[in-house]
Amino acid sequence: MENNYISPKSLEELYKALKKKDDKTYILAGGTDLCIKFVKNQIFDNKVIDISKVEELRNIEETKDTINIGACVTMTELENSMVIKKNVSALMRAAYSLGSTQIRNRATIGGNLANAAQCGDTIPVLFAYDADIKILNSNNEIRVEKVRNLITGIGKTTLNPDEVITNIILKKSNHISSFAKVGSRKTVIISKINCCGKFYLDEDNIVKEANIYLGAVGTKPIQADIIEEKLVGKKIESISINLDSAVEQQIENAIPNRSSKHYKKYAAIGLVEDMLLGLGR
Amino acid sequence: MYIEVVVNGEKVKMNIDPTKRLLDFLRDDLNLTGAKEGCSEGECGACTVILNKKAVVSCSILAGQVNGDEIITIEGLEKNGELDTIQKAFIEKGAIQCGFCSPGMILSCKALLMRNPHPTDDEIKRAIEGNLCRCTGYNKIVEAVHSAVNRGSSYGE
Repeated sequence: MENNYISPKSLEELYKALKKKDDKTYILAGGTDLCIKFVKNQIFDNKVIDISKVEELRNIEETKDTINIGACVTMTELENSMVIKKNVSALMRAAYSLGSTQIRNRATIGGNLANAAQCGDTIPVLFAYDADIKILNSNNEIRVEKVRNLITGIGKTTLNPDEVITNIILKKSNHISSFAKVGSRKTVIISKINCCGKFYLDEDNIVKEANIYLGAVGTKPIQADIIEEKLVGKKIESISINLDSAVEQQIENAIPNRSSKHYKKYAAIGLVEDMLLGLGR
Repeated sequence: MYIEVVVNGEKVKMNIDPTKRLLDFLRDDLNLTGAKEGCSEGECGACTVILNKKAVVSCSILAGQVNGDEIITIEGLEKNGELDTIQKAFIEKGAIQCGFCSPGMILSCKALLMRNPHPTDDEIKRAIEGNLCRCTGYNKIVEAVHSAVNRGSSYGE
């Protein structure tokens, strides 16, 4: 019982703790997913490395070119951060709409990534922003991986057993972005489908570049290339131009054999509209 | 592992299994049974407590994670035999029926009032979106929060 819980306070203590990690050891950040998994799967002989008190993982730093988010930054902190609001409004929106107040007070961005649920709300945003993920291992070595290479499937990542996500790095840009989601009630929604769009507009509000990712229509977010193509060259205000067939085609391509495609085709039309409306606000 | 926490203003030091849930630590070890176990997966809010001035669900936190932290449970709101303003307001407005959600609901509202003494309807609804009540229909709960705000200022609290 004495050795089943390590709570490192610094990165140095963290990499040393990772040396002791075995296949019964779990990395714990906020706990909103892992604690439930322990109960559900009746895991009682667990060991835990609790990274939530590692000081270096709790900050949002702004440099000249990047936004550097610590893995243990919570949704509440993202939602209230002026740096995030100014530079990555889609991430602010995703954090704002995730779970409940109680969940947002604990749930972390690193946990959302490492958990790699297909419906994870921050994940399509990080895909659209082509985020770099900084990873620490038990030898105190750091590697950086693109988020789209990190997540390989539902609950699957390329993290090695002795590795932990330490930071999420986003490049600053003059793009604008938005996030929207659909679920079975108004609040505390587990996304049935979610969407992040990131755009570069010229001075006449014409879309020059579009990056759109749809979540929960596959094992990881998919790039909505058909919708992107429809939007490039169009004026952002007149975007109510008919995207219906493009959206339907995008969903058909993503989940051709899933019975939920019929619902998701309709839902995604409104979802993409919500996302685009969010850009103006 | 020894953990040290401040619970309802009192220091507690206890040798416990840090991988048990905060909810179990409060209920089984400290006999604070106000926090209720509802869904066990962070959806219903019945186990809500205030951790470092923020509402959290104690079923989704391990006891080891609160080492060095400050916790308020429903038992901690009463001072010298007198209920907190928010508790009085819940009673007066009929915002309690079966009572199972009430400790969590009240603590979510209390956490809101601690950082925002004059919340709007929307802010109250957002604060309790993670607390399910199957009796009152929420309107009376929102009314109770407004009433507590008014009471608080007229009583000079």
